[in-house]
Amino acid sequence: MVKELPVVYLQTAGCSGCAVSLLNSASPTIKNMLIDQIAPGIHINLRFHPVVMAAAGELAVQAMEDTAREKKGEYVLVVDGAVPTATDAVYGAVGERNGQPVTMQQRVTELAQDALAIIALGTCASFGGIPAAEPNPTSARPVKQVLDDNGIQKPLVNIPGCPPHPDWFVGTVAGIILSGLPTVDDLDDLLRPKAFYGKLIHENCPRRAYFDEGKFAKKFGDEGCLYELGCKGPITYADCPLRRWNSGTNWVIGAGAPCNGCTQPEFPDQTAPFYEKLIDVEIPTIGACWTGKEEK
Amino acid sequence: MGKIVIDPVTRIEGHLKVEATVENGVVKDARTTGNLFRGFEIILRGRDPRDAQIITQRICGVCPQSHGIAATLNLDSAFGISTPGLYAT
Repeated sequence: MVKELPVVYLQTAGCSGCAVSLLNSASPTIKNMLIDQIAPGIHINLRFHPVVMAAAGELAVQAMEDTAREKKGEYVLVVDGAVPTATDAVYGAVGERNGQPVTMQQRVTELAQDALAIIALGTCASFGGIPAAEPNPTSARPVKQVLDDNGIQKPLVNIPGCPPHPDWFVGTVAGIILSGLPTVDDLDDLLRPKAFYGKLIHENCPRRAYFDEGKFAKKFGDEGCLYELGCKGPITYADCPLRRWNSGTNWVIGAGAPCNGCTQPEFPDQTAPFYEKLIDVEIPTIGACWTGKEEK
Repeated sequence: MGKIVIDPVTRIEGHLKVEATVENGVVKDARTTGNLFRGFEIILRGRDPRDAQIITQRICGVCPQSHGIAATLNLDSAFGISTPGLYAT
């Protein structure tokens, strides 16, 4: 018999970019993921996903609430977006109950309470991201903080990125299906899977040799390391240089643009201005040492 | 006379609610509500203007390019840079 893994994909204060990125999954394709057995005998049953589901309005909300009730402790909750909390969380609502809007904060706490595990997909859900950028007008909070504030203790995995690479999500879900929930050793201190966020962009950057030589691009299109044009690769953990984007076609630095540090909790306030050099600091764990001589 | 409420509207980016009043099979009144406020205009204040083209793309993950390009054209205009052939000045 095929085992069903129910999934509720809740969107909060985000932009649907994470969902669109996920739909771009190349191997497996999103179609295979949703229709086929993702692993022998296991089928992902996506019960609620506002960007792709055919149902709307009450029918959609009913599918979400029924899953929470009927599949208590069995479903995976994916949250895509930060959670607005200011002014009684009035800045975001999903669906209605008895004619009254239900706030995103309420939805997240309700659904998280009975979930098997929670995946915070994207930088907004993981760390607050753009909605939580200064001055954070809606007091947008990451999922972890909302769970902590409400005393909910459930396994949580953060998959940041603005947007995250589809493989980071699919790989994490595949890991859960094949070998169970990630252990402490599988995650870093920010609850990101080490398999995808274990190394700095800088460590695997094809332009790294330029950095070590002190050869820096002064304007876009120049040969050299993009550090002085604002690259945040030296402080950003992700495997973009190896995995690359759009089915492995290219990635940001391959296209000549600086990394803006989107998988980090510092994004966007401390990784901005995006086109200004990082403040010179001792950067740990970058391996080789740059002596600091500049070629003018 | 009946009232129809669709909340959430699905297969779109964002959080939308639509209410319609129907009379004899004809829509007499309709209103839509955006169910999410993030405050991009507030967040953008005081930042390096060049960051606008990256931040505004996060308004919508389905159509980020249009926001990014609009921000870029605005910056060109603010800095007095013309890009021949791209748009009429």
